[in-house]
Amino acid sequence: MPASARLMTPDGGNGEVLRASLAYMVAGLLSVLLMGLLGLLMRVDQAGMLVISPVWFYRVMTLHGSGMIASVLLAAIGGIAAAVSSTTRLSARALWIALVIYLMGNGFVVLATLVGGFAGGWTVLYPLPEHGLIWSLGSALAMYAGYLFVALGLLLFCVHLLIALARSHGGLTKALAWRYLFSFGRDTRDALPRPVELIAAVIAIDGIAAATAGAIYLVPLFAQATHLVTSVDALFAKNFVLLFGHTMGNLSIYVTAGLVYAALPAYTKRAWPMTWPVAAAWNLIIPLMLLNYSHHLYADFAQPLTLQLLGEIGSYAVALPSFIVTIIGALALMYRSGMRWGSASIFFALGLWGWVFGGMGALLDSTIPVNQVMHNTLWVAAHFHTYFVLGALAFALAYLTYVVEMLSPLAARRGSDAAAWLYGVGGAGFVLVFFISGANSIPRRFAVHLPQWQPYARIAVAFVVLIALSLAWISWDLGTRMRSAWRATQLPSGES
Amino acid sequence: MIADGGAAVELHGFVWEWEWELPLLIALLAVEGGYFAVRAWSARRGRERDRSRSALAYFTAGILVVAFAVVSPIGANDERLLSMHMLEHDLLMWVAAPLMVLGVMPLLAKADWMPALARRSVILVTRPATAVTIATVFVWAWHAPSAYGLALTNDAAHAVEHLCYLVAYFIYWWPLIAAPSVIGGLRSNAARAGYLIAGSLQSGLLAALLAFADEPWYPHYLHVPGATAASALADQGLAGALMLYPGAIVFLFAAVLTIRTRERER
Repeated sequence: MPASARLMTPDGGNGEVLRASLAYMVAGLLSVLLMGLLGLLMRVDQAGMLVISPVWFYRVMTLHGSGMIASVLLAAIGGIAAAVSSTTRLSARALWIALVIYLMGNGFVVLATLVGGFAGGWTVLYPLPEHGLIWSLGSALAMYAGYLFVALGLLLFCVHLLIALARSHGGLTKALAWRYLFSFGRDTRDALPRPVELIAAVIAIDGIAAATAGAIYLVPLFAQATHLVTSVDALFAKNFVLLFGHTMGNLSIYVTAGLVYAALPAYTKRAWPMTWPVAAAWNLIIPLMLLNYSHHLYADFAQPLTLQLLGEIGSYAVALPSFIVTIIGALALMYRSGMRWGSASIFFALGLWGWVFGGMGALLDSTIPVNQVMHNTLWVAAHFHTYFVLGALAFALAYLTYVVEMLSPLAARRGSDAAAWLYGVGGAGFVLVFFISGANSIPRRFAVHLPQWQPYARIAVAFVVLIALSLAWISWDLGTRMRSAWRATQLPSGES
Repeated sequence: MIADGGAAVELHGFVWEWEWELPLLIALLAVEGGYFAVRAWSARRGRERDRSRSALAYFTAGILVVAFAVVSPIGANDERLLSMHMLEHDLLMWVAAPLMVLGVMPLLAKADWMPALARRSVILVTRPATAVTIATVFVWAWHAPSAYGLALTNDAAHAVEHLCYLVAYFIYWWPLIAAPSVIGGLRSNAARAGYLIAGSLQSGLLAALLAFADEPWYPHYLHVPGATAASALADQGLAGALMLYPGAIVFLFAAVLTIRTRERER
């Protein structure tokens, strides 16, 4: 197996970290299933097949949106911890504490929406949460508390990851391969990090920035709730909440892309070493991922033009380098490799496909003239569902399948490959309906759909059912093998 | 002052309202005395570590927190304000109970001196699922309006309610605080994380139901002089918040303090 695809053997000393990583992935993906069911409920409602009240629709929508972002990211960072743990010493304690804090944040969000009735959308755009007519300030505060705990959990994880990587490579600049990068690949005196380690360092930096932005957003709002300040500038709040939430959403896809570097070589039997384009592309992500959120503020006339332009430039620039390098690199790795097609490799291929099409949808949406027409339509839902369902989630499923394959002696069930393809068919149909709906100007975030819009949602429901069936099968298969995989991570008896 | 719409429950002189309940103080002194006696007996049996001063300090601090919760203005106003009552419970469940576990731990760590039946009982109640269930059942059952109403009107029931919280959370904190080698101690970080999540989820759900309710749960607080439905509801919202947020912080600290660097599975 190529060095870049190693997963430490069970008695290699990182069993505790692997166990924590598995817990992240399993908790994240179980949460994805629950949030997916809420998504199905929303589409069934929009199809007119089962009517839920608009009050409940928006609660469900808020929980679905915030929960999905948090869940996919949780599974993704668990995967990256497992991937880097073979060569980087991580603290299982830090990982478990971060997980508990993160899940407590998720719990707050569930309570704020389902019990407190908060229904202001995952973006919690200020000042709407303060003045909700169908929810109390208390439920808005519970939502903020949820975000604060999630931000704290993410911050702890990212700080720990970054410190561990810097220690492992003798400094942060070495973990980021800067000497190699700025010499245009000529200076190779430093031992180069594996691509997944570089990506882990990049996402840790952006994760810290996102969590900090979350705190900058949330602290004034808590201060306002306790009457320490009278009001908060709405544009400031909107910029920071999107810098926090949008970056978290972006992190999911980029973290899971890192998992492709970690595991795809195991299936193609080809190494994926660090190259200059890989180093350049992923280092560029550090500033660019923090700029592109601004494309959600094109409709805000008060937003300075500079930030609007940076949003457009950032949106294009963030996607292209890593996108091209990763997609071309992965396709080159797969081409004529005699790759064994199993559920993991199928999910990797689907993820690449989803990332391409989701990215194209995102690029179109981030183009200002297009955005002004399309941004409040289902086109936006189409692009982020494409790179979530068919990109990030597919990559996360692929990596979890890979880890279970590595650790469990039990083979996958025969139907799992078919289930993975079925996931692709369901996912493609589901997002295609979103794209067509957006192109037909069907608005997003509408609880009640006009009769002429409902056929789209009905078709979508059929595809969501396919996704649900495939995920049920995959979950059952992975669940039955998880026990032996978990045991395989345990240290030999007597060690502690 | 809890106020809404012009009506209010006045809390002038709040800090001076101490309620010196002699029977309770005697009971607490008796418990502390019992602790000393067991400690001395244990020391005679040659258990050097049973005499640790920190354990004594923890247990005594736990007893003092119980006393403070009940006799201070917090406890003295628990029949006027639900929020004070909730703060009182917070102190019992989340401060006093873990302190007492820390105090008792060295005495009970080695269960070899216990009679077999007592030992089996300890093993049974400190199983994670049992401990969480006990905490959940006790806390939820006592928050049912009828049970809560009884506690507010009957001193004996009130004392039993507080004792239930203390015992339930003594049992809850035990598996987390106990070392893996100690009877009932959780043996992996995965178990600790899951246990903390389960514990925080059940208390968080109850707190949220209380905080976000549309109407007051406990009619008793509607009949407090000066109270209105609005002020009682605001007080109830504050009570829920006092259970939700400090609870989350307690569980966060518990995670930091109990999740170990090196776990031991077997």
